Amino acid sequence: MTFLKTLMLAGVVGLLAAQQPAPQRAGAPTPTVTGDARQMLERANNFWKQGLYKDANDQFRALVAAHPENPDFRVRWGELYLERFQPDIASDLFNEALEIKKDHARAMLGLARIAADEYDHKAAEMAEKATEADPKLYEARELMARIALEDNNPKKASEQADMALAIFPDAVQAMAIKGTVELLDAEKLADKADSPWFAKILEKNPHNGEGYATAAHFFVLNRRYEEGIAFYRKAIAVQPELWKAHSEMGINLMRLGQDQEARKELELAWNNQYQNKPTKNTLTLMDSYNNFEFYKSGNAILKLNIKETSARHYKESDVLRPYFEAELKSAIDTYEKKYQFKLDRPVQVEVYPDHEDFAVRTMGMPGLGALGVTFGYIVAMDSPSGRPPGSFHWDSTMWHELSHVFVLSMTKHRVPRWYTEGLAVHEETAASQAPDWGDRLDPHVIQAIKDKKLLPVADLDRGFIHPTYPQQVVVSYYQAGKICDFIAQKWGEPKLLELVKAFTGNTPTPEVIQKNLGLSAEAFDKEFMTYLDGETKKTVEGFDKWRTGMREVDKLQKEGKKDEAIAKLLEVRDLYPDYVEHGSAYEMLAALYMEKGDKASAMAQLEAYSKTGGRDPETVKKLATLQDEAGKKKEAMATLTRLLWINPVDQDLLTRLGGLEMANHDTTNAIREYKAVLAMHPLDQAGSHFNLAQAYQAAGQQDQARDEVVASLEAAPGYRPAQKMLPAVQNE
Amino acid sequence: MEDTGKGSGEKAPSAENGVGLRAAAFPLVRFGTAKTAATDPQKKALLERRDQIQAQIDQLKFQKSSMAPEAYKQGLTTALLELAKVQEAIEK
Repeated sequence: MTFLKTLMLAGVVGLLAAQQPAPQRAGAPTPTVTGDARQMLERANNFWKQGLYKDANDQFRALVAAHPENPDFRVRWGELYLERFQPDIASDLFNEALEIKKDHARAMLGLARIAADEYDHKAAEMAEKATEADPKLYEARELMARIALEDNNPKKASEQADMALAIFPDAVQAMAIKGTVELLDAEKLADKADSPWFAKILEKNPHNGEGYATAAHFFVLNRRYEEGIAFYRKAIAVQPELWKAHSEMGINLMRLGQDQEARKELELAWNNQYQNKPTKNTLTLMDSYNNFEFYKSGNAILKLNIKETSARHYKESDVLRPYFEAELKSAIDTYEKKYQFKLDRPVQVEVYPDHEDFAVRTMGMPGLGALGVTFGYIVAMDSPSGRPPGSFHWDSTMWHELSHVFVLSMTKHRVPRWYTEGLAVHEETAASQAPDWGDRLDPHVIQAIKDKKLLPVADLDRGFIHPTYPQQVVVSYYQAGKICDFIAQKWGEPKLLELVKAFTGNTPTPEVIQKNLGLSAEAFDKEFMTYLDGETKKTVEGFDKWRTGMREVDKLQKEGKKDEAIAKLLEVRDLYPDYVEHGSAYEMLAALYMEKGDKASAMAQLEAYSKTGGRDPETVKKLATLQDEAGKKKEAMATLTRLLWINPVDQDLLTRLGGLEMANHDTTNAIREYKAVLAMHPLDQAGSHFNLAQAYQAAGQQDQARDEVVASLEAAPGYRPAQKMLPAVQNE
Repeated sequence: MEDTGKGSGEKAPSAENGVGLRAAAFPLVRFGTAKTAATDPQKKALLERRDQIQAQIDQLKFQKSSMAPEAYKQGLTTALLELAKVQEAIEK
């Protein structure tokens, strides 16, 4: 039975499960109260300990109703909600407590924990405030240690953990952080598989797996999934009822494609009340795996969707497979040569037409903004059909993720996030040798450069993990990519590979830069900013003028002053040449020139748009039409070919491109395009089969040509072009 | 047009969905040369032969699922070749 069916049959599963015995949970100090309140609180805590969450909840409700002035009870109740995966309600209760007592340290800690779970940069600030309100609150120090380690700042993490241990020598999470810092830098340990800190935790309680679970969390965060899973196994070995570890191990096993064990662990967690959203979402996603098929070719495995839906009356796999397979092979071959590294097992690329499935596949939760994610040798990514056409370059994304596969494998996952992301962004255009791929300088990045918000290279990881403003992750991708462009330009492409190798030994970024580039990190930042300034100065300085200019163009257009609009557009276009999003100067100029009947000028604008990386399929097709009409067949073919790497799921594109390829005697690709059209079950079956028949005939594949002519005539027996062709292919 | 009176037309008549093939066989109007051909006694026989072959093809398509693939393919190809020849003759 699938997970979803089980869930539906249970109906009230949450309530039923809530009455089963609970696992051991981390304790928290009991608020000091007297009389009836004490008894009620004890009852609530006891119910909680036994896993009778509904009863505990009822007790807390009664307790708070009886003592509305007591903030401690609200905080304790909030902690129950936080543990039971309802941070919104927990947050309300913590805030209510703070209204009663504005410096309530545990309420602040509760809010800090919620923020930390969401990787909100405010978490550290909140935890700091909690320690100010109560300097003895060691859990706040533990949380600060965790946040620091997430920011890849082991020194600060260790200091915070020491402060927690100075307050409370048995602080489990503080010991776990100390142990994890050592394990992440295992070269310093005699036994590289463990740290004495974990032995200390087990000395206090041989059945406490929380320490290992914390270590596992950090290994996963550092993309060292296999080691992370190994620590979850250790956590479960000492504390089999640590359901959190079962769930998280299941999610990470799923990430690595070990689906059978993943499902077993997730179901175990679910059936033992660990029913958070990632567990549920992952199990539901795994139910949908029979909608996918695997295609192995050489050292690559493709996982593509085969389910026909009301919105998609065809198997996506039939359309995408030839394009993905060819690019996957090309990327792997390119990287093997460039990085001088052979992968020791096949790479699996999973393509999800439903973005939320992809998000659950990667994070356990929907709502992920990314387009692709790499887990060791597995890449999960959006399908081109999963996003509006033109909003996403699937091939660029795949090359980006495959760079991660190599770099993570070469460095045994030790490479800092900023470098693997930067290199992957660099390779989108460098390795692919397609300058129109990758992302352009966008307004958020321009603003960040203007506001001097770029981070020093030594701190760049922070921009990915704990962003301090909404677009900082995007800005950090851009900055990291530009850093790699700069290194390649100044020291040459081989230097990038040298740095990959240098990052293999857990060496911090400043040391790697000093040793391999001969500069301090600070000096590197200075040189990089000079380089970036040279690349972006014109756009950054002209950005406001460009915005004003585009508004003026809009006004001129509304007033019907077309010539003046053209003049203004020509003036502002080059202030921000990278702007190729909707409403770009290129598109507007092309439209205005077309209205004047000046097709050559319109074509020139659209050529610049396409060369710069413009991706709107309809605009690019317009360019191909103009080129075709002007007799520039090869250029038209190249223009439409660009769209294959953006959105191949387009019958019109494939039919037109196939025609141009036939005209250019490229029968191999014409056959590919026409087959993809047929895979999408076009209404014009006769014409589509006939196109393919012609391509086969031109390629000298007579048997296939005959089959396709017959298929064409089967759909429309009176279709004259096919009727005329049939005797010829029948006789040959 | 459709075959069964369910009310909605079939865009892609096929043996697979079994819908629309009979309705699609009804000629509604004969245009231009086709009209002339219909009144030419020499071509009338050819037109009748064409209709026969088309009916034969339709019949084959309806029987497709119960036939061996090779037999179906051979029968269809033979009929289509003859249809192409007849059409060629009509157009001469």
